[in-house]
Amino acid sequence: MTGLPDRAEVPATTELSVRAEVPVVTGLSGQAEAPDRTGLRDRAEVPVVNGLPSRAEASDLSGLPGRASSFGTADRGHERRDRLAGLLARAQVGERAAWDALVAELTPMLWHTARGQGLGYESAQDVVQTTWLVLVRRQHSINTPGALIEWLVTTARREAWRARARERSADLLGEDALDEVRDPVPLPEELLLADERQRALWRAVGSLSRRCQVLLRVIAFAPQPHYDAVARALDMPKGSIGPTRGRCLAKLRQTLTTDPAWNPDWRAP
Amino acid sequence: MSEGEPDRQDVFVVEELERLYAQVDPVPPGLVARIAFALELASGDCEILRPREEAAAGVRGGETRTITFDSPALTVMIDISERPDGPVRVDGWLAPPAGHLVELRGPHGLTTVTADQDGRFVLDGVPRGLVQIVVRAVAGSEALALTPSFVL
Repeated sequence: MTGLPDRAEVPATTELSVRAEVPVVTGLSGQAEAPDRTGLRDRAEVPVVNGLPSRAEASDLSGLPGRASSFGTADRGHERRDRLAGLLARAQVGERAAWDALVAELTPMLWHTARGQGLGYESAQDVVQTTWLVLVRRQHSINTPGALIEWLVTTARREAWRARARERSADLLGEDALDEVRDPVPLPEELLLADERQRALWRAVGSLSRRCQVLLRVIAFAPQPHYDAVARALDMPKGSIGPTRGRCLAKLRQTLTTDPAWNPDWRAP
Repeated sequence: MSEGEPDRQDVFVVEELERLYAQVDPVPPGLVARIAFALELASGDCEILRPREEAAAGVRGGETRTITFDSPALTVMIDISERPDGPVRVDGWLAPPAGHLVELRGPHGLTTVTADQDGRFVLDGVPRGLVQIVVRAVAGSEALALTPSFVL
């Protein structure tokens, strides 16, 4: 017998058991992964069929601003939003360079989403990569930068649940040697932080609730006009009693003011 | 914005947080490039095969890694036999069994085999490096399923 057994005969390790543990998915990406690929979808709506076109237009993306300049004035925020909208539109018609630019720009946000969900170093990389692959399937239902940000963070979070469920089911079978612990960032992180102000910030963040930590961590890598989209994706509805960006930031700042090592000059970015 | 624009101090704190997390847990080097490589063939209709790596076991001077890739319609399981500094051998199975084409995309180009009726396939002498597995019904057709990129 050289083949794998039928899926139905495999009890704990397959997709089937994993899916049962994953909460019902709602929102932008609510469609279940269609098991059929028989052309039910209208091909006319999918201009890119055999991969993405070449990098011919890569050159006009060379002037992308770095992350550091993305916060600050509202003007810059809007500029960035418009640029994201442009990249999204170009990606949707299959322009490779636009995909590459989106990936470069938004992967840090997804990395910190996955890591914030407690995934190991390898597993988090798989989750980020899978999130982008799924986006290619779903791209035509996502038409604004806000929807893109919300979809990406929601999907990364859901993929992180899946990955954890898969790891748990493997653990139950006694396969406990999963390569999840080979994390190249040794504790304590504080030692890595060069200046006193960063160490103070690290301590202050550590005093926040876990949900606040996760929210602020992802927001730190999200485009500023879309903080609310991030909060929605992390299931922290605005106006609820739960943590919001404003409350989490206020708590953080309050803690920082009691720490003499935190010595901000509030310089303009 | 439900909470209004962040004020200057918020902006400063958020920037410091970005710097902080970028230092204590940076995006792994090469991840962005690996994603770009994986997306090159992705299209609207193919299944995404999600990976799970099993324990590595030492076998006669080499190591065997097992990775299972799952999607709702297809599972691909591979055993990777590693030899010190040499090319690797990949023994794979498709479930449910089907005589699909299995492509291994790598830095060296493309290696293609056809799975047998039991869904078995073997790729021998594969150079190490970043690869991606793509499954097609027949040559030249659109991909049925593909994996994220991973390092052999």
